[in-house]
Amino acid sequence: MDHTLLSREEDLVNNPTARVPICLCLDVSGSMKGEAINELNQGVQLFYDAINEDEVAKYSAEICIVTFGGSEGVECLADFASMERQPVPPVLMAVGLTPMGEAVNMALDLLEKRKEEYRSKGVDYYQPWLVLMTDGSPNGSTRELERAVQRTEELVRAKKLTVFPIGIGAEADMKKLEEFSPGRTPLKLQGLKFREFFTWLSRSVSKTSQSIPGESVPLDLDGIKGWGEL
Amino acid sequence: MWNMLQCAVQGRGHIRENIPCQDKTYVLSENDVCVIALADGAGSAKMSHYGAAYVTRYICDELAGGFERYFAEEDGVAIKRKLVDDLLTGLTRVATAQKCEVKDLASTLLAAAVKDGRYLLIHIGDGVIGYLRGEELKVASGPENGEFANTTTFVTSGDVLKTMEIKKGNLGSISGFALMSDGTGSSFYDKRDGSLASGLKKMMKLSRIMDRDCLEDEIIRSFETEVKNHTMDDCSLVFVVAEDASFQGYSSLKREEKERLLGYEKRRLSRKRLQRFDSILSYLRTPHALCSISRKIHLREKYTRKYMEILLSRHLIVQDHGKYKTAIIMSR
Repeated sequence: MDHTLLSREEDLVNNPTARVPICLCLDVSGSMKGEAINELNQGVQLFYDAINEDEVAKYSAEICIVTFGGSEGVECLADFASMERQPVPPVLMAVGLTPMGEAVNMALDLLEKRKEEYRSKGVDYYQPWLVLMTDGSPNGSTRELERAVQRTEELVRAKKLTVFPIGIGAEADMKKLEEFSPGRTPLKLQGLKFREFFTWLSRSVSKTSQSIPGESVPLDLDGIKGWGEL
Repeated sequence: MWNMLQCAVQGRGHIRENIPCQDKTYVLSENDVCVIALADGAGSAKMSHYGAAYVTRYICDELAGGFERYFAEEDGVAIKRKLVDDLLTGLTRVATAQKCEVKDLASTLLAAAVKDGRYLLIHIGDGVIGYLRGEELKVASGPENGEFANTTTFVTSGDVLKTMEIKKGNLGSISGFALMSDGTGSSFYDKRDGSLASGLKKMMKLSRIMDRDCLEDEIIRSFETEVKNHTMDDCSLVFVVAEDASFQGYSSLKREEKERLLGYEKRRLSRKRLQRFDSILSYLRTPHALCSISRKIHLREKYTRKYMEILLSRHLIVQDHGKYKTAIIMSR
């Protein structure tokens, strides 16, 4: 038996792992039907698999999926939870309109709620990420859209949120996406390279989950070149 | 008299990236002042270990030389300004020597100084300062982390004065202070309720009866095998604990005091068994293997091993490279 000063269980505390909250706010409107929604589903699955395979990110990443389109208009298909609690992503179905503003507002509300839970339970967390993907123009409430843009912009400027706006295909409203992202130009996905994007995203989550106080984690922009266009 | 112990180990993240340990500790006993200091170099600042080494030495020298002046000063803001100005001036010199910018030397800073029944505490950034009052270990100053896990304030931060903590007071029944970096805090500071783990109190109390070098080696071993597995970050700890004047060594203890140390408070320890414990502890002032101990106390190895297990579990001896050695101070 190896005796060390601290080998008894009660000698040390077991703090929860610091979390990286990631919200995927995804367009599943009717125009995504066919190859686009299939590729998106495969990309999200790959993202889950990659996080699950990472020793640190697995316990640190918390993924939330909010969709706009679908039969409900705006829906939270997966609320923030660890991979242990929700190891499999929901299946996305393409149908309906594009109420992007409503979806972003729901995502930000869920994020605020989760951060409050972290704080009340003494769980540390990293700056949250919001991935916003669309292949068209928002057509929900204008007021909700303006509110969503304003809230997102304020959080990004206050360095309380990192946003990745991604346009899919030729019809994506890049101007609107740009409003959600002060300081970083939205990216247009090359073709339907969702898998490349989600592989890059999982690597970035992995790096962030292992960062320590004072360590800034620069985004690997070279890695983006493989899947996006600036 | 005060005992001061320190330990800093390279974190798993830094081992993987081949970056040196950026946590630095320093202790100083001068002018009747005992000072301990700890600094955690910023992860993104590649030269931060130089900054951390500088600020710990500076604060120890400064508090040892100017304890009375700082203690007498009522204007806390003036003290903060003076210390930060001096630290930045010194870091500018270090930056020139290292051919880097001052921000490349960013680190946190924690310090505790004691003199004649009084104390001074300084805290910039994350990490925790704990104190021992009687049997209770409490938090004197918690981590300043900002909202996110990988953010904190450093000596070089623009808003350092806003979050810098300084405290002073009379010791009363306070018998020790401990400083820990954020990495060590993962194992000793419960973020849910702000309490400190019992293992820290155990180490601080052992410093009153255990040989200093022996305890320091054991703390480093525990950090390497237990503490650093809870984090990717470097881990460091430094503490100062008042000596127990009534403890003059194991050899001077009364029978019931020895029984208590050996864990026999509730069951009887025969005279013969106590003599064996005494003989083993005395013999192991120089390291010996089990077979030698067995011969010395005229007991078969399998029975001798049981004595060794008890002594190890009570931290009265340590084991290294197959040999055992007495850890408790036998006589002062």
